[in-house]
Amino acid sequence: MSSLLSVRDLTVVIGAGRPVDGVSFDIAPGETFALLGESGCGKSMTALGLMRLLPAAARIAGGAVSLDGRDLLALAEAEMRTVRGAGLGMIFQEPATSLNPVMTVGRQIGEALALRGGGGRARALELLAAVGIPDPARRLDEYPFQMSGGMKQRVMIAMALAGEPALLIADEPTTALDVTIQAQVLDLLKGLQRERGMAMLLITHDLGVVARMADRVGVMYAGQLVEVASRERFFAAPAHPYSRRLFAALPDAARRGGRLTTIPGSVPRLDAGFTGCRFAERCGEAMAVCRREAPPWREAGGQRMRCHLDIGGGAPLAPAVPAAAPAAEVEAAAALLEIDDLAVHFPIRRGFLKRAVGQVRAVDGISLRLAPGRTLALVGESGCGKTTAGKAILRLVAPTGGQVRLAGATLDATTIAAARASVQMVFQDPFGSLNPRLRIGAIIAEGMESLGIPGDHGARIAELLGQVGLAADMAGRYPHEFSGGQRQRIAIARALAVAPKLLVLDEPTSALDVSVQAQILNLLADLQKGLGLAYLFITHNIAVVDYLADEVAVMYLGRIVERGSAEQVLRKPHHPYTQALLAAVPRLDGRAGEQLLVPGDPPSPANPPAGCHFHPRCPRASETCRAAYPQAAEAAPGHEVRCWHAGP
Amino acid sequence: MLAYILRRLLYAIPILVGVNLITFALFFVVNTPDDMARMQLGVKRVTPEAIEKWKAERGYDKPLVWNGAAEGLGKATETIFFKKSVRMFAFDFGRADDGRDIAREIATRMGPSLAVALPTFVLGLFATVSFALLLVYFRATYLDFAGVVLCVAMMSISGLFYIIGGQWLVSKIWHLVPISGYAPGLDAAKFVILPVIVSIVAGIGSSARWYRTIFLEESGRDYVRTARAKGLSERAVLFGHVLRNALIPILTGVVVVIPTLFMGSLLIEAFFGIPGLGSYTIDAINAQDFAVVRAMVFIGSCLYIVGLLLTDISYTWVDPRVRLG
Repeated sequence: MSSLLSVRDLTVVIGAGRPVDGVSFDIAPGETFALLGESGCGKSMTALGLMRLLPAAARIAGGAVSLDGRDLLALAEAEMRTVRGAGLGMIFQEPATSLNPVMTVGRQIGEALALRGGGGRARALELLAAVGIPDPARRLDEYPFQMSGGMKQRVMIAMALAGEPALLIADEPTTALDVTIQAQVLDLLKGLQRERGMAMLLITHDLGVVARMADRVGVMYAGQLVEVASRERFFAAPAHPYSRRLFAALPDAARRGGRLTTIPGSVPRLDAGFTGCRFAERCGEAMAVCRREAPPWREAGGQRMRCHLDIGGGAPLAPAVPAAAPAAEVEAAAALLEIDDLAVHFPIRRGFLKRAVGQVRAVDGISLRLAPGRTLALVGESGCGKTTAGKAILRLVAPTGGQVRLAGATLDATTIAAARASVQMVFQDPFGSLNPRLRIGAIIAEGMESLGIPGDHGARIAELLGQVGLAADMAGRYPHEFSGGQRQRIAIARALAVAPKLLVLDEPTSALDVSVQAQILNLLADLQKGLGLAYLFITHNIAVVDYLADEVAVMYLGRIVERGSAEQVLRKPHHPYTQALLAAVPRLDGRAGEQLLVPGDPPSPANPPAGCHFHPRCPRASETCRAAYPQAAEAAPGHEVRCWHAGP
Repeated sequence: MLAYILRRLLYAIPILVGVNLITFALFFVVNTPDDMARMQLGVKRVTPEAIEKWKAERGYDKPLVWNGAAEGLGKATETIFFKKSVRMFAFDFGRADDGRDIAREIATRMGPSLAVALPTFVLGLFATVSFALLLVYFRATYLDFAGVVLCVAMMSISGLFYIIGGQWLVSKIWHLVPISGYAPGLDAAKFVILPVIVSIVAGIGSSARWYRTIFLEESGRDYVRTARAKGLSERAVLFGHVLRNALIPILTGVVVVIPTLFMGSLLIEAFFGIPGLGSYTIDAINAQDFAVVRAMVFIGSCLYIVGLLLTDISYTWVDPRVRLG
């Protein structure tokens, strides 16, 4: 097999560190090669190195890259520019920031076309149509901010296609997108690739995306490739201890109630100067030789790995605990949290006198029940109002309607201050949500002080840090000295400091890597068991929901469309939106099969469609759906669906 | 947009009232009407009668802000503040203490001020942006480093040094242009050229360094990487992508000064003997001529408010995301 792109011993250095250290791989024409790994392992640096678009501090220190026999590293910068776009196209992770905000989409595509002799507006129109943008003639003259995230990513793809590249580098192309939009974009990429015979280097941290898209997989760790295999081989039997742990750390229904395998510690610093295997410190199977000598490549049946073990060797990881029998329904227990018709409407003000001309119905009448010690997952895509709902419960935004009761007592503006000892929130971004100028101890103590909780705060801080798996002497440090996972532990300790009964967890793991996510999920499970906490878990990640939720409520455009036990909602969904959401999650078995694609983007909550909000995207929509919003109906005891055509 | 402009113009009214009050208070904390009369009449002819006469002729014989002796509304209107400062809202500036009409004076002095300020602004902006872009084009090279060092050195030197140094070198040693003065019409060129160059040189250090920072920050953004990934040349990236986006923060500082160009520059006009509004203001302050000072402060505030409004409007031209409402 002749290769289109051949990379040999590519090394990138930043100061004393080597984010890419001797990486070699080949990509054949039309093939998709996936680089898989956690953040900081060098995947993006490898891609930018191929494009020779490294940040100013980084440089290529060695190796060879050839595209179609041309040595890219030897080219002059002017020649390299002709390779960018035409030979190697690239799309980036953040469609929101990767397009020029003050230039129309048509001009940005036109710029790429002009470099290859033009084609002008007609060609740009063709490209926009090819990436599935509805009404392309109008969109051509729009600016990126007028488009949704999914649409911006389609524009990025159109722009990359303008140069008709032989190889498309896609750097986490769907990480910033919602799961239904991700499914659309992955589908599009796959179709375009088939049509044009384009090869693809897919960079991702998501095993599901790899399973769906890749022909071959390379796993990166600490700047090196540690395993290369065909997709089939890789998913049937991952060989490297790191690869195997990545799989074991994934939450899913099969591991419900059990513990996830975690990878202790974190990715090592790249300026460490390695002698042995880079994974040895975190590997459960490390031997003396692992710390002494860098492991050799081993090969068996087309699968290669860099390890002292034999392929197929190594102890099997602890098997998943089989699904526990569903606990007896404790519906009878008095609910800890009762939410009735909670609404948050933001006024839209316009005109000379700033009169409210409309409402953004971020949360539009939701009702929920949560019993003590249980977990309720509030699931939905971005913009559906789930985070606003969480904040409204704690009155971090003022609700405009409805009622929240905690253990029978109504939470309103006067009672909320006292109630903050019973309900606390953990936020999504552990980097933004801890005050960088305060020491950890002060961050944790602050809540206890403001609520006037008596006792020895110093001892309590030490106890809390122990509870979340940190050392007590870390209280004197500042947030920037911690990794993302450790910061989220600190955020949890801060929330626990006032001994709440309910934690509102707003996407607590979505900013974290899989192996770290597993640590946090295990921690949350332990705390629930030990302290009898109830969780309101706000997330878009279905796998996490499947792993830990007792009950699930699915939100769409400010309303709850389906709710019930996890078993009911995730196994026997009745609402077409829930069904589409579940089907859009990429599966590890790679069987895309009967993909149920929801077309289009979620509409704006300022101007929701008449009738059922979901009808413009719904395969079952009928006249009734266009006319009226469906009332809640019970599909089974405790399983509520709001759909005119509910059914499995 | 129209609604926005109207609302902003309404906001201007309380601001201008406040400006008037503060100018009034500051001026009369330092001076009394008696001081003003003495200043104007000179040392020799000062008698209590002369002072009273001078004050009565110019309306300074009334109480400052509250007339207890008057009837009804007169308590507020028969005062210096009402008679002198409130009239300015109708752009009626009255006469200076030497009897000249302030409005006419402003009209004739605007020309010389603009003759210096406008070229300084346009050429200065062009020079600063070009210099900053040059540094960014050669970023992380010795040229960039040398440029930044030069900027820091230039901004560390006082503006007075450039003025005096320029006059000494260009006029005294080289005899290229007159040291100071002004002539109307095309003859103005030889008087204006040195102040313009001196102003630009004095300002380029700090602005170029600031613009360079903005350009560098902008060129580190994701969309710039995307533009490079398309295969665009460095020039196309810099001019087509970075410059347009960097304009947004730059506009904040630039557009606001455009209307105030009419007011001229205090320092430059005083040193180069330009008969503009800047030197007019300085002279009025020295002569304690309240009528002129408050007129200039009032006009300056109006122009500044217009400048802020223009800044907001200019955002909508360069940034399609901005909608005024």
